[in-house]
Amino acid sequence: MSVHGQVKVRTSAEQKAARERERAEKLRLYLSEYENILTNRQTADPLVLLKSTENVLSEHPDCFTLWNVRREALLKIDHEQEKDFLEKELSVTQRCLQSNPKSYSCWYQRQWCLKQLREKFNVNLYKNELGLCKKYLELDERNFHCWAYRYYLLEQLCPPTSSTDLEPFYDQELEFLHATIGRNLSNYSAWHYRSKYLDKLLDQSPARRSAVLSLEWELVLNAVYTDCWDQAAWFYLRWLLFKQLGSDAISEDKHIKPLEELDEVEPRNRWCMLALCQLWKEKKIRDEKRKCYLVQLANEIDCDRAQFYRDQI
Amino acid sequence: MLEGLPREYDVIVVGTGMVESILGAACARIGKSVLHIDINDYYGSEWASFSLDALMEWAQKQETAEINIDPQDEHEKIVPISNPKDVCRNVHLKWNIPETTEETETTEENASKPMTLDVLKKQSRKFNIDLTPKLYYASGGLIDLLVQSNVAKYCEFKLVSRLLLERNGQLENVPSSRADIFNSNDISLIDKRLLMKVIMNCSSMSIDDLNEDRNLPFIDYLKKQKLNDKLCHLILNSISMVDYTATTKEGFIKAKRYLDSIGRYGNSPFLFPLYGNGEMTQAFCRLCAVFGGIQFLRFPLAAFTLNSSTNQCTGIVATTGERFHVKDAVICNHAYTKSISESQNTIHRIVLLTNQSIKASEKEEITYLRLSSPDETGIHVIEVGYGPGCAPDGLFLLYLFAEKSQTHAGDNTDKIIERLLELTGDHLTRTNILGQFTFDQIETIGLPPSSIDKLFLTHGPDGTIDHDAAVITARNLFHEIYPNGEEFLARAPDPEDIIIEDSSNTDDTSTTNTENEAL
Repeated sequence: MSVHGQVKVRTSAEQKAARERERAEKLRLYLSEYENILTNRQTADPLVLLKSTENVLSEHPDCFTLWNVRREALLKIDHEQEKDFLEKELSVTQRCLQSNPKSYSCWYQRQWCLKQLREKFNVNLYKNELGLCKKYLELDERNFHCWAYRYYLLEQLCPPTSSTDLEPFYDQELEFLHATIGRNLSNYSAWHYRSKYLDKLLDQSPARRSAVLSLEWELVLNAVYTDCWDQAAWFYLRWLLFKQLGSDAISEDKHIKPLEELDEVEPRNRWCMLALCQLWKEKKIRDEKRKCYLVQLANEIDCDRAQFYRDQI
Repeated sequence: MLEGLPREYDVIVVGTGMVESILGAACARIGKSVLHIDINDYYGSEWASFSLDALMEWAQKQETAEINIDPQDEHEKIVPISNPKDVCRNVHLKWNIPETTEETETTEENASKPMTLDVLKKQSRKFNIDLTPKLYYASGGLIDLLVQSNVAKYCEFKLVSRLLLERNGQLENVPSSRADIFNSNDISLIDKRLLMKVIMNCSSMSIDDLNEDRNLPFIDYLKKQKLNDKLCHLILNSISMVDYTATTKEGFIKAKRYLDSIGRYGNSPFLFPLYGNGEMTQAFCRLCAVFGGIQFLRFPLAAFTLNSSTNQCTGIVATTGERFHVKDAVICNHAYTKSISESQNTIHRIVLLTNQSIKASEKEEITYLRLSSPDETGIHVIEVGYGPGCAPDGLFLLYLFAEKSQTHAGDNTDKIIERLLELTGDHLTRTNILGQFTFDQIETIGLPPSSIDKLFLTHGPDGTIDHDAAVITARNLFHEIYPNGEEFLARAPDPEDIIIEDSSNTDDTSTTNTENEAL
């Protein structure tokens, strides 16, 4: 092949052996460093501890003990330098998140840092954090750590201070969630947080209730028609109808009929059938058909949950 | 010029088109000695990409002189080659802009410098104009081959970001994913459900599940699923991308491929190579060279040599009389043999150079549009610009060609352009078309194989949007030449797994050095 020398390709056995050697070496290094840190935990200078734990954690971000060591060290640092170190801590966690974006420890560490910084909070930091969330959600929109962190930011750290700002704040968040759902209907987190924010919006602006709920119904109906097999939208639909609208506001024409039409086009869809059974029960209509559906669900369509359906009859 | 070039090979490949290049790489990969030649001074043959200058040069076709070679003994028979450029006919390059700035009148209106031909020529290298534009299904034959053989590391791709269809006399986006359908405002709820149902069936059902429906015309099958005309057209034209005459089985297979391709690399089923389609043939030639194949452009080829008693092809002969012999096969395109005169079918290709995209957008797009109707065969429209490195910033290449070749030589260029301009309205008009390049490609796919032993004929491009035909032919020919279970384009090893040993140095843990950069 090559002009100068013989080119040999490693066989898969050789590849495996090479990998094993690498792995063993990595493990040995890690264990020795870990031992070192633990023995010096109480006595060493906090800065030294921070340095040594940083090296280990960037390769192995899920080591709880080492994060504890870091927190202890950070608390020992004197008051004036504390802020800088806490901010630096955020960039350390960012590096660690790159190797595992779903590391419980890293996200927790970030939260802990922000909590410590509370009194000295600044707006740029907040924007930076939200930007980070957005980036991680783009990488994986179902990263529930990131979602939870985002809500921690919005709830705890930066809710609008004046009540006039609350309404647009909630609207903005609902927009963001709408766009997220638009990209992926199955994003359960997005629907879940949407329900939370809808609650808050309606508490804040009760006058908008019927308009908002009307639009919301259209949204969720669009979702279940587009993909009637995805459970996220169905859960939201049931929450909207029963917890938000309430029995009295449910109209046969507006709410029940479209679902009946969907049922005709897509028979034997367990979500649609269940939703209809619950609606018919609320409105005390179509009792016979309801019972018939529940029996079908129990015996043929969704036998795993047979008892659940039978209990409803 | 040919001294020093070895005379004996396992395989000689003539022409650097797609099929030939894949084959050359495949043969070199299994350790065969390969001489890969082309009489042109560029790679790609009919699949090449050109800068603006190179295209203008190519459009001036030169006649090649007939070279007469005498047989060297009574066993040898000489078969002179045809001019492979004859496969492209009726080449026309028309400009709608002045040659130079002196020719324009400076009036109030054109106080800003108007575009002239010499301004364009100065940016010649920013153009990469395809003779044969194609798209790559993310789950299609060629991408799979590129990934499997690891030739993919020689090329880069961009997603075809915008898929359009004709609706209500305008160009609109094709809704094909669940998200598209959810976000669409002009499909009713029930229609959304019916459309999603058909799409999910195309993805999940197998062909056998179709039963009797499989031979039904696809349009009838779709109507059976209660889709209205608009939605039938959407699936037929923009997802399956078949004509109204297609069977359900055909429509299904193609719809499946489209849907399977969405999501593999992004929200679009198609990729487009950076710097144009010509890069693909070069990528395979590169793999051939890495495994020891010799690449030789501007080769002075005169003829093939045959053994007259056995009717076997023995090799090739250059205009200088030097002969090169093969053991296993000579692979060449039909275009080098007189057989192209037997083909009546031509693919008419149109390339427009414009200063405006067919549809406004906030960002750089690579656009694909398929036009068809119940009585019209599909027309592919591909638009590329600065994004994939095919045109200077602000300019666009618009490729238009029919999917099925035609047998009559009528020129429907204006008709096709009008068809498109009706849909672009005020956004893109004739004044935006700076230049127009058209030619006919003779379709060599479907021509019969050669009757000469050890001479294997490949074909040129067809009018489809993808490369499947080329990949299938290459694979089939490979197995014909080497029928003993040799692997077709096995994965090339990663650089980390290669150990370079000098004969004096047997330390086998020494690995990478600069040699690996070439890989």
